[in-house]
Amino acid sequence: MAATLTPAAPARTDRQIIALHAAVSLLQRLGGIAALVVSVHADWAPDFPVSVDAQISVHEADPGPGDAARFDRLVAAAVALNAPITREWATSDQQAFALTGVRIDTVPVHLWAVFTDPDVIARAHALAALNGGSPMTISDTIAAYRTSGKALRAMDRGPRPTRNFGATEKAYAFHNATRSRMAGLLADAGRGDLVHALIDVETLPARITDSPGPRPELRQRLKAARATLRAAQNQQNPPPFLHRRPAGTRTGEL
Amino acid sequence: MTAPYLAPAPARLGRQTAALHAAATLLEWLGHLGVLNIAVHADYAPGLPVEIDAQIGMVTEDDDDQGDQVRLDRLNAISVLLGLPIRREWTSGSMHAFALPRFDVDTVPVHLWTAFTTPDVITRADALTTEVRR
Repeated sequence: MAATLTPAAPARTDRQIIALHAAVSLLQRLGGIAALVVSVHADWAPDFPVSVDAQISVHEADPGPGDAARFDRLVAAAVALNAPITREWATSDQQAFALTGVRIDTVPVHLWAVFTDPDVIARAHALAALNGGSPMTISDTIAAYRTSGKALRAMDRGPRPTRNFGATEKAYAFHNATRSRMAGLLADAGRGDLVHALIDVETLPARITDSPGPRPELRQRLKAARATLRAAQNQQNPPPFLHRRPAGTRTGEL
Repeated sequence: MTAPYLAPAPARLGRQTAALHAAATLLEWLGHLGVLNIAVHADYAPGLPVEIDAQIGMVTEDDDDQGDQVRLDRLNAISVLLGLPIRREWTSGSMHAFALPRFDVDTVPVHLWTAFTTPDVITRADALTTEVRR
């Protein structure tokens, strides 16, 4: 048995509780449309928003096959919340579509569904095409994530009088959304290791700076994570994904 | 293909809404121990329960290298706080899951659990399953 317990983490449940209440509001707004698996993750870091993940599911009583019922629910939710449908990620037999820009009581909501039926996927594509779409590669995904993280940190470091809090909030939300897309894309490509490498590269520099000692093991890990990312970005034939590229991102930037 | 939208399904949000409120209550109870990834499934059928899935998570202040130990400490502390024993749940490859027995918050069943891959931590968790908590 460990001699001492891990030091108590700070109690950080407020934002998660607000998000749970926002999830209740979401259900109330959607009424009979809502058959949602609702998840609210722990407040991982004060810098990152706590969002509501709402994956469209089915009820036992839904008529017809699950894909058709989920598609109807997605379209009905898009209408009810006045949010566009975008394509999020694809594997060989599954494609995910989501609503973009949904917030309930200031909490970002990621409302999404997965389909396997080619007819349903074709209809969903037609709707998503309204927003424009383009292929997304592993290299694109890494670059998009790092670009949005950089934008966020640059904004956070800005001098007080010129700080634009609305823009910072949008950058947080965008970065958070990029992170969930990034994690989904890379995990589905069997590259969960890249998710860890990206998060290491993002979080370790601050941990190294903040620690009292030299922390050679953290420096080593950071170095390894950077090498992993560089190798992934330089790979010759990155598997293509079907994914919408977020506006304002460039490829190949590390 | 379904031409019109769904024949309006009966809105079955009562139990899921109650579960989300209960999840908020659970976090209030647990305070700083409440580092939980919460999931509440849709009310699939009236005959099935709607419960809270609460998987012990991490925060950025936690030492990543000690993740399993951090989560075991949280599970153990919550077990003591609630007076509930720790049970072994399932094994999948190198992953071993441990949980508290189902307990209710405002009549909603809660499944509170975590999983480890570090052999030392798994041994310690197994040892804790014999502790009597009341």
